[in-house]
Amino acid sequence: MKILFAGTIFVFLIMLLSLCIGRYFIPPEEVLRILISNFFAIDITWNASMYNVIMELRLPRILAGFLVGGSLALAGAVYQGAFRNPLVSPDVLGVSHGASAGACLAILGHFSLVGIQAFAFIGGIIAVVIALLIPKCMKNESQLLLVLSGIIVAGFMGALIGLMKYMANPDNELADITYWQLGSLAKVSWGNLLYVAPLMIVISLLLFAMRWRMNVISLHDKEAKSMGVNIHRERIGVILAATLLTASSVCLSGTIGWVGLIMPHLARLFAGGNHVRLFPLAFILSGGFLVFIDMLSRTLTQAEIPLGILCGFVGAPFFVWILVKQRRQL
Amino acid sequence: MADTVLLEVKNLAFCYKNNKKTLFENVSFQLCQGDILALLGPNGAGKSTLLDCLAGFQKPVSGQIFLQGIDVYQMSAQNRARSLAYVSQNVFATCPYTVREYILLGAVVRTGVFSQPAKAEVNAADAIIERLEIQKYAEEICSNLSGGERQMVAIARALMQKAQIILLDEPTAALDIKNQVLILQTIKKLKKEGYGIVFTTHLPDQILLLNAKFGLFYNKKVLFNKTVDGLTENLLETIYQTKLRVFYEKELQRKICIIPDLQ
Repeated sequence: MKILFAGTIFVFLIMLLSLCIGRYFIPPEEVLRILISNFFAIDITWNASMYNVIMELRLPRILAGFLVGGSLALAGAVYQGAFRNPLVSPDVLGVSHGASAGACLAILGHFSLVGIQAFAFIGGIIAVVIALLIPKCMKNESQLLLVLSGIIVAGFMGALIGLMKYMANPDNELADITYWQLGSLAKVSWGNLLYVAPLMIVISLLLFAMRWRMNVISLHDKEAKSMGVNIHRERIGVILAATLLTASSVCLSGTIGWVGLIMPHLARLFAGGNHVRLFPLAFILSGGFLVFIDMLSRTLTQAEIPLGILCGFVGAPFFVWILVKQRRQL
Repeated sequence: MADTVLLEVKNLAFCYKNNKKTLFENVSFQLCQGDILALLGPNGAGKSTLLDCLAGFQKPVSGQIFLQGIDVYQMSAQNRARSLAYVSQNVFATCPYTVREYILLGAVVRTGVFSQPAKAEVNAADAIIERLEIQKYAEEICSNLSGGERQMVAIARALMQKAQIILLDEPTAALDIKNQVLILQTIKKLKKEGYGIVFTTHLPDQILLLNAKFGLFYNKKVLFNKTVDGLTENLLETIYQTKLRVFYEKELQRKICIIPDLQ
């Protein structure tokens, strides 16, 4: 509980820092005054452009970063529990590849941002439905087959993406597709955040409510069944919920690798394997992590660095460190 | 009270789906409060499969199972788990929870999908830990436990279901002597508390030690016996095709069963 409290405060500070820092520095006291002015009438000590940068650009972006980071880690923790495999990540059933393929299609069709996001969402869901249907058709409920069909679907979607990139106009479309595949929060606005956030919040709350149940769902099949739990139905249920969460994240930010894989592990170092403590901590830590990474992506260089690249640079060594720390449990 | 029938099995038969080979048929028995029923038989005779049928993992081709008078196939899986708990042979190879957390999971039979276990359940788990005297490793991670400790923890989780019937699949397999004794003592303790216990074993002497009722798997039938008097040399030799000695040992004041020699 202490670590959750400390984590929450730390993440809050990161978010505050993130509101201050950018191409245009705004002092923390001004940031706080601007935030408070939305609820109480206080003297205006800031200019209009400061207000706009905070309220219209940075705040929605930071909230989206927190939500996307938290959702990816929560989905990752659900997947790792449901598959009883610490090495699976939220895109194991091909949701990221499906979403990217959908987004590519929309970019080639010159749809608006909302259109691209809708296509990404639908693409992700189609990929997962196919991945779930393959074992169903073979009447085989083994998890290995489920993971295998995820790989098959991801491979197929990957080929589709390759084809679309090959056909794309290199002057504008190709850059858009690459940008989408590497992940970024640059295009987040209140408009598209309010569109997607409610679904993400509802699903996250549902999964939070199931955090103790999740301990049973991640037991061996026979054990869970002997306790009267319909393990296949409940497992598919939480996997679907986690997939919806991932698809929603992808349609806000594009595909961001690593977060869903490593952040549950980091949280596990502090909270242990019990999902009751793991879920909230993974969400908080990962949300803060992505806000921090996004702050780096905005400020490190003149042009924004895509999140996928930064997450890869930070995530890969970080994962090695976690594996070294956890070596006894693996 | 002692005669309350917890479990009644009538004419149960099981055959494999793929080759239609009958494993056992016409299996009928009753289990009352405070009964220990040991299932004995060669490898592959169907001991574990019979337990699987009782626990609902496998469906028999015919026959009926009644839990406290109610047909098991009319019960929801959750209700079944409230009357009957099952402990498998290979208890949780990997499990990231502490012993206390794991035992509490047994409360799932009384907890909704979106709920947390009530405070009373947490206290009940603590009480079971004390009852089985496993406080010493209550805060350990399950994966780090030894075989005997795992078996005790799994039994504790089964008790947490508050079921009256407990099925144990080879509870002493792969355990050292000390832990075998500990598990058998626990079974005896549970018998005194009024549980009905069914377990499978490869050691006839355990039946004599526990003074248990037993079922012998032989030739697709299960021969049931209410007292250990029925456990004779002839019977065991027929079933196992192996020389065995069963005799009364004066000093121990009980019948024992041993392998006489290796000829």
